[in-house]
Amino acid sequence: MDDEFHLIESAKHGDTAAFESLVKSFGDRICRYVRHIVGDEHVAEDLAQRVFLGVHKNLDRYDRSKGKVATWIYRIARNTALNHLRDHKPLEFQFDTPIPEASTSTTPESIATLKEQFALLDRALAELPITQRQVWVLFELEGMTQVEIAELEDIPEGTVKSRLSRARSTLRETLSGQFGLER
Amino acid sequence: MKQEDVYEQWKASRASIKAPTDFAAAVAARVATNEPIDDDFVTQPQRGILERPVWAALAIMAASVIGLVRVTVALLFGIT
Repeated sequence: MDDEFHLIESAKHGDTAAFESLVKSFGDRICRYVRHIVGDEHVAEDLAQRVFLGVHKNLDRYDRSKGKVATWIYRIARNTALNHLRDHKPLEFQFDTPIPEASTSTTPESIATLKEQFALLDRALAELPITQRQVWVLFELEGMTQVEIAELEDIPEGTVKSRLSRARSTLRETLSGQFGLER
Repeated sequence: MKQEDVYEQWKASRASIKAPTDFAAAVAARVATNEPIDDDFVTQPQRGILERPVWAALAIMAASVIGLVRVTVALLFGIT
């Protein structure tokens, strides 16, 4: 956390290498997060770049007493993505989740089934209400705590818990409903 | 494979998505051109007026009252 704060401070004073480190440190997370909100890979990349343009132009506005650097950057990303969705018709989610190498599925049939299950989960995730999807992505993919998400989304922690629980249950029901997999 | 295993593998796969390799360079190029951006979103999300809870509630109440008045007038005077 201190490292990120020092990067902000250095970048504020014109240190371009510090700003580049900040982009490298948050680039994957912000691209992934925005992509899960807007769906399309290319739109997400452009928006993620705009997030960092916003960060760069507003380095002076970061106030350490109001929260972590990560929360500030994620909030800019959230607002950028939601503003985009407000002005543009949502695109169909273009997810093509890769099958992990460490997968236990080795036969072509089991790999095909796994691909089908992943595609089904991708669709279920895309169809989740945006409020549930945001919380699920921040908690499950970005590793944020429920307290951090509550701060970022400006909602009570109980609301974070209930949105997360509904999202998880919808995603799991998708699998049991379509494939009848046991828990 | 169990449901939980599929779910965890899918989640791990989604979490492994990364930014393009030239992402930092692309950001640096856009910063260098001093590209103008609408930065109102930096502190607060922009919301449509009907997305603000108070205004949305007032709008719904106003619509309900207007609807009620129209129905009452129609019933009393047979005007539609």
